[in-house]
Amino acid sequence: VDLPNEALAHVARLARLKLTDDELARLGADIRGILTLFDRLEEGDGDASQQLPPTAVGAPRPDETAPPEGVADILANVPRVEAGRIRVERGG
Amino acid sequence: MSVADDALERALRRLGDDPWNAFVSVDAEGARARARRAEGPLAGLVLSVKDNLAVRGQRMTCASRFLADYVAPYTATAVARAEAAGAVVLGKTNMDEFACGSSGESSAFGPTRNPADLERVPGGSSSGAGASVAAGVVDVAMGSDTGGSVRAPGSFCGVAALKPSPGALSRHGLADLAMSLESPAPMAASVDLVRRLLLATAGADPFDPSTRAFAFAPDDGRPLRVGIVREFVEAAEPDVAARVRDAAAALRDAGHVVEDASMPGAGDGLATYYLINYAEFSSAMQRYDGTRYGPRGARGAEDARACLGPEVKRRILLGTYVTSREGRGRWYARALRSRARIASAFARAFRDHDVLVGPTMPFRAFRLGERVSDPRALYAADVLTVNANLAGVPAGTVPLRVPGLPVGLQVLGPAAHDLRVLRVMEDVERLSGVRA
Repeated sequence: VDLPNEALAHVARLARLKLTDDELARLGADIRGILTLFDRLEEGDGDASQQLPPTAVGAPRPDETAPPEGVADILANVPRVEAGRIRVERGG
Repeated sequence: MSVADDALERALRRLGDDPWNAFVSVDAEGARARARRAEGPLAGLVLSVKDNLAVRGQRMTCASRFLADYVAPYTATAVARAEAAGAVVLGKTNMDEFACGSSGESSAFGPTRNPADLERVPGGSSSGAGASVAAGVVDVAMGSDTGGSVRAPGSFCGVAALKPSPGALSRHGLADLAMSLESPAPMAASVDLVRRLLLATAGADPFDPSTRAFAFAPDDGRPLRVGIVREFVEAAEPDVAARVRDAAAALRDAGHVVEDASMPGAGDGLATYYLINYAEFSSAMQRYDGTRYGPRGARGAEDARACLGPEVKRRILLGTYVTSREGRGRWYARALRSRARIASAFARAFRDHDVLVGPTMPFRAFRLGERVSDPRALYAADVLTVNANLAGVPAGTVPLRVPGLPVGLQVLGPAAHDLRVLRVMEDVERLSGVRA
């Protein structure tokens, strides 16, 4: 499977994973091996949309507003809080 | 002391210092308080909860350093219903990190050990759930099953387990791995306890729309047409295959009609499953970006995600790749078409057979560390369990009475026929014997 480490490094950036050179080499070898397993799948034809089992088809609950619950619990789990708000890092 | 108090104290004594590493956290004092007021059909039963299911006020780590300090602000529906029915939660069980594994070795808190042999894996990803039951610490466990995650530990540890039909159990409060494939899933020392936990926790939940239209099909108790799946038996080691044929013969003696069955497309299940798992997992993991979840003080996604384990990183990378513009047509679309073919093959098989049976795992529990460096060898262990998740049908495992390490028989039924599957498991348990 043609997936050189440079291409995998690009995928890692998309996935927001920072990998060391060692990790990239090791995971790259694993991933190229794993991808060969998938070559056995035929192209086939038919519907390629996501299938949900028929028993799992339901309806959403009513769209009703309610006061927020557990704000303190949520903030207690957040990595960085400033002045009672979630600190969001600038996207890179 | 009430029945629940007695049961809890027995569980705590049996747990001791947890030589199986089955638990990530134990809440003995909280459990004692809950035991004092436990009432209902599950009163007197001690329950363990896999650490990817939320229990309000308790840590929920998914066995990852990423969530090492996370405390759940609410309780998962499946757990809340078990507690309302009188079960007492003892603690949260170890698992493969974010449920990525089938051996129980990828936890950030160390591998779980198999109570049948401490040098062997218990199976995963619900490794601590299976070990906590097999070791006799708890009566019942709530795990989850995405591609075999309660059936693998059920088979390797020698306990009963059921992956329910999709829609039977609410996924509210379950940290998802692959939303189209998974469900909370009960495990127990007997099939009857699995059924009791299932029935106490199933039912429509406004927080999971997939449960809204679900109802179990009634089981009329008539003798059944049991198909023994040739491809599943042939994929197992000869000793395991022989035990499965013995169990099928016992079902014939019990009055069922046992016939050969064939699933010619089942060999594609593993590749199909992993492609879909990677795609859904990498999508589900996007929320773990260091903003609302992540290690204390983490600065942004890359910083927070650095602590994820190698199998989690591998699956995120693979999922990102197979759903990228370059990979989508080549890999993901092919997997979705293959999934539709597998679902059709099961529908055809269930026209001729009321249930299908075969081995749960192709072999008995292997040694710790034996496969951990080769992801392809680890994935191969799932070859017999993933098809049920792809097809959306219920599948259970029941231990066979065999010398040496445990062997499980897998029973699969049409969607919503969970009660029929459990009846066949109970027949096997009665005929073949089970450690209860």
